Amino acid sequence: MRILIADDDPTSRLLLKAIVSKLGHESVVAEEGSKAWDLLSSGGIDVLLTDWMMPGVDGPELCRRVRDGTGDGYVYIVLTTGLDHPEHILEGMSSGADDYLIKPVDSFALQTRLIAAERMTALHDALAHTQEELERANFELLEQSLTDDLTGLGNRRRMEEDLIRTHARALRVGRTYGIAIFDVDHFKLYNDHYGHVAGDETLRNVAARIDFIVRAGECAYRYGGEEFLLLMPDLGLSGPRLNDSLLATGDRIRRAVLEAAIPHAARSSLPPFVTMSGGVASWSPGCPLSFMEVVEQADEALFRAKSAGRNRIHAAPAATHDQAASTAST
Amino acid sequence: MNDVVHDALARSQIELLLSLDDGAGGALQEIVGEYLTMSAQGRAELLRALQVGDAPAVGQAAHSLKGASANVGALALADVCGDIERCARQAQVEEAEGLREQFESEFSRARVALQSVASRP
Repeated sequence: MRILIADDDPTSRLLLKAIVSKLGHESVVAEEGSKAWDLLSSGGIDVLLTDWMMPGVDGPELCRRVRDGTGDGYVYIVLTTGLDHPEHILEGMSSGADDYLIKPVDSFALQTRLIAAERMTALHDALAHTQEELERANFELLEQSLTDDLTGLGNRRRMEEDLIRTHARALRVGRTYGIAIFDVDHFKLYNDHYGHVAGDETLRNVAARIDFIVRAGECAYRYGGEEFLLLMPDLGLSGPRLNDSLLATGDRIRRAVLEAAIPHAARSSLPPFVTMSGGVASWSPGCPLSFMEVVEQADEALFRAKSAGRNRIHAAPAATHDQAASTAST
Repeated sequence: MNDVVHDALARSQIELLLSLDDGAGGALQEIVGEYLTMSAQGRAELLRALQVGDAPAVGQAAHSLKGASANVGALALADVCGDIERCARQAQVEEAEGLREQFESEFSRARVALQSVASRP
């Protein structure tokens, strides 16, 4: 172990240094509290052997600083003091010392303390390690609980959390966000024709295409069976230009899936590939809709895209929120 | 250990110091050498503080000498220093002054003994 000896008395420093060395440990010395604190702050100290009374930063103050500090490892503190002040021992232990030694320190007494110190610092290291592992495991579990197993996209739960957060933020700071919902066309026919294993493979493939094409800040989720949702926060446009932009984004994704040219021989309509239909909607400051209602609007637009022949993107009527926006601003 | 040493110094502490380098005596000589230097300064400071009646300075000087003396086994000297420190902490400088003679006598005894220990081959 690396042991810091803090004592203003040179004979005590020499004595402790010699004992520590005889016990097979490494030592560094400080002749005053502030120098000891500097050494402690730079790390790598396992045990602090500190005198009670020192000019400047004294023993108890040093104990408090070590315990308040955000050092990486645990520093085991042994306070060295005279026999004539038992109240010092109590104060020292309350300030953060783990043990105390009566001066003059003898090697047997110090040896016993260092055995305890070794065990204690090892325990703390193990604890810190376990804590780290737990935090990592927790993080992984949380990630898993928010991820769709099949596609690796965010699942419905993550989608709802993100929607709530995005909507709250948009309300608070006056931002616009957009939502696009996509549905794979004739997917039931696909499954019936190719089987569910192939169906799953295609969903994974489609999800990868979507995930590849989303821009920074946007996020794609698996909304349900063969439905996907794209959340576009912090949009800078409004009115018809906003709608055009949402339609363009939706169409980019629709095309990306079409261009993957995944054969779909079971559908009656052209093209003979897997395609998607989509609906887009948005929320702007002043809009009275909840985020679920915005999702419903996108869903209705998607339904219209389906009715209009599939493999296309429709937008929710722009008038709804433009009107709301102008109502709110007047 | 001769009689001078035996009277003034605790045998157990000297043995501890000797054991630090397995009897070679280097550690003992180093610590005693340091003590002889610092205690001469400490004594001068203690006498000065007693002279001017500076109770905190008396307490501080006596405290340092007490700890260092105990480290080299000069327990009788350490005890006198402890008494002086206690008096000074209670602002009884005159009582501390009354212990001065005893301090001087223990100081010389310890010094002679330590010089003998440190010069031993």
